[in-house]
Amino acid sequence: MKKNPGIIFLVIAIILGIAQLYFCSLLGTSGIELGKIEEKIQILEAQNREIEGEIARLSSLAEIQKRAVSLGFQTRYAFSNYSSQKVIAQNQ
Amino acid sequence: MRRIKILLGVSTLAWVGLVIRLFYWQVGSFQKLFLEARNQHLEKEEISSPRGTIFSSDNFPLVLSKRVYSLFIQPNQIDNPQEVYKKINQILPQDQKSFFEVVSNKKINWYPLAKGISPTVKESLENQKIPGIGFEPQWSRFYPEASMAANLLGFVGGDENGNEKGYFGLEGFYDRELKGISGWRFWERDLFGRPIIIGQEWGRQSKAGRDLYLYLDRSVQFLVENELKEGIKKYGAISGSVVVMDPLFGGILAMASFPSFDPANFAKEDKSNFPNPVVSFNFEPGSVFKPIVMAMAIDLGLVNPSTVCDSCSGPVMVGEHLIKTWNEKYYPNSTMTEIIQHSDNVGMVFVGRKVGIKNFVNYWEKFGFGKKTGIDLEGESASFIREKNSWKEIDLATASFGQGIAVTPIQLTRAIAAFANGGKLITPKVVKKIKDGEKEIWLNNGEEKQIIRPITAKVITQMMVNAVEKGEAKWAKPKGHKIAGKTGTAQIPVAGHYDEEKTIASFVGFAPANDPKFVMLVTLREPKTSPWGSETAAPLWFEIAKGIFQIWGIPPS
Repeated sequence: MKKNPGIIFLVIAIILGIAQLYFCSLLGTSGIELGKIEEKIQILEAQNREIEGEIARLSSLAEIQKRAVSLGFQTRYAFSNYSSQKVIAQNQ
Repeated sequence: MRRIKILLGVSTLAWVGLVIRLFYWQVGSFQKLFLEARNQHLEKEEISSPRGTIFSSDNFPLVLSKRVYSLFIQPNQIDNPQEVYKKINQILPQDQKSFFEVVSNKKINWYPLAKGISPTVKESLENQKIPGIGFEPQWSRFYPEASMAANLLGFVGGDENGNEKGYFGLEGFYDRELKGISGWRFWERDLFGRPIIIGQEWGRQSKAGRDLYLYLDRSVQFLVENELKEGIKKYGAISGSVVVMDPLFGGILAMASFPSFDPANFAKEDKSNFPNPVVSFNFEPGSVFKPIVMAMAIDLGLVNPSTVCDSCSGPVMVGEHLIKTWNEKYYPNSTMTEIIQHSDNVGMVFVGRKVGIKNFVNYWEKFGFGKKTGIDLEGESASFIREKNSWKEIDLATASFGQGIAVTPIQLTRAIAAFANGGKLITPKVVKKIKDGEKEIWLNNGEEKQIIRPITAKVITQMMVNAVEKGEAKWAKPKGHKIAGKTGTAQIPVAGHYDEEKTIASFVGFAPANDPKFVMLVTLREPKTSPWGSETAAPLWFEIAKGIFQIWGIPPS
């Protein structure tokens, strides 16, 4: 059977065209995905910073003092330190 | 043949026209078309970078930058204002009247509706798919400890171009380090604006600002601020400042002043509270300056602790002026130790005369007065002193007990620190290290000079310990701790004379005296309960010291 070079060329061209279309659509989809990922990264970074700030706020000394007082702890003004030369307790 | 000629002519004209058109596109309008094409297939993104974080010595963020958004609306894209209002109002309450006023005006293209929106709120609004709204990203400074150390930190505002700029304190001094470098990015996009994955992409990377790590002890700062607030209230003062410094290296462990301000809402605050009084406020030190003059005399070998004052039995005349003691009590034949103990003005005139003007001015400069300390805070001022050749006898006499001269609290603190560290003048510093990504830059800024002999420092320390043990403020001293200190009560000069009623009460000292861990200065302006430093600033100093002993676990000696 005699091979027609024109037909072979046409088949190759069609295959290449289909491949081109396939890869273009694939890249287009990847582009959308990439855009979404970048947007998500920005959102997550912003949320991460917000959480860092919130953790810092909740662990601030003023906040801890407020919570401690609400739990019944006393401020340091309620205590005094005494020092004495007398022996109060001694090991036998 | 004629038809062929016509066809050739038309064809030639068409080609010429095409060439002209091509020339017009590719040469004449190249710039314009190039830009248009670039805008169509290139996307540009500005990448702003956050300002650096400021950490206390326990690596706690005192200031950090948070991502926030401003919400804007485009009234000409809103068809159903009622629906839009309802959706926004559910998440972010809005004033109904002003909202509809804006939305009904279709001439407005863009209107900012809210600022400082958190990412979470933004996401909630986006999920509502509201037409005609948009978001603009911004950075905002956040203060987890609220207004703690506000005078030390400063605040961030805008410059004339609307860019972030630090003002006062660390934000002002380290503005260039804290400020990040904005970046940008270009990438190719398709017809629908989607990035082309194999397209070109280029730009400049943004760089976050550098982080500052301070010497500041957050627990001590918290204690100092609470005590100072209480002290101002208790003693009826109009303002007050406290500075706590490491006497060996000059690290600032705490620095507070009241009234202060909220750096997150600086625009609503009284501007007069922005400068940090510890570095910018000049005051007549009064008796807290006496140990410094005594150190001059001892260092020069003119007196020793047991030298007897032979002119301390009554008031002393200096030119036309009669100098008295603060309580009009006189102690004949006082030793130098007793002069400091009694805070004896007449005794200090005796010491001042021995030192003389030339030596006084030399030591004044050695102790770092008259020039800036070099502390890394914006707004430091230098105190001043009259020219060496314009001094009169009375000027030396009053200067010897701390009047007629001016110092800043930070200058006085570092001068007293020289007694605690064996006679060295150190540079006070707030920032310990700067972190730039993974790179750490340890700061060792400032000079360290031996200004008096170590033995002089030791002798003055003993005198100051004696002043605390036996002086006017002995009643307030914490039991068991060895503290070196000196009270001060300076009258306030008003229009060429001293106000009889108004004083600046102060106490300066360090502890433990035999192994100093901190040097601290407390100043209270115009206390009402008592004008004396021994009854106001000293008890406040001791109260703060007790707290520091507890926090650092310093046992009684």
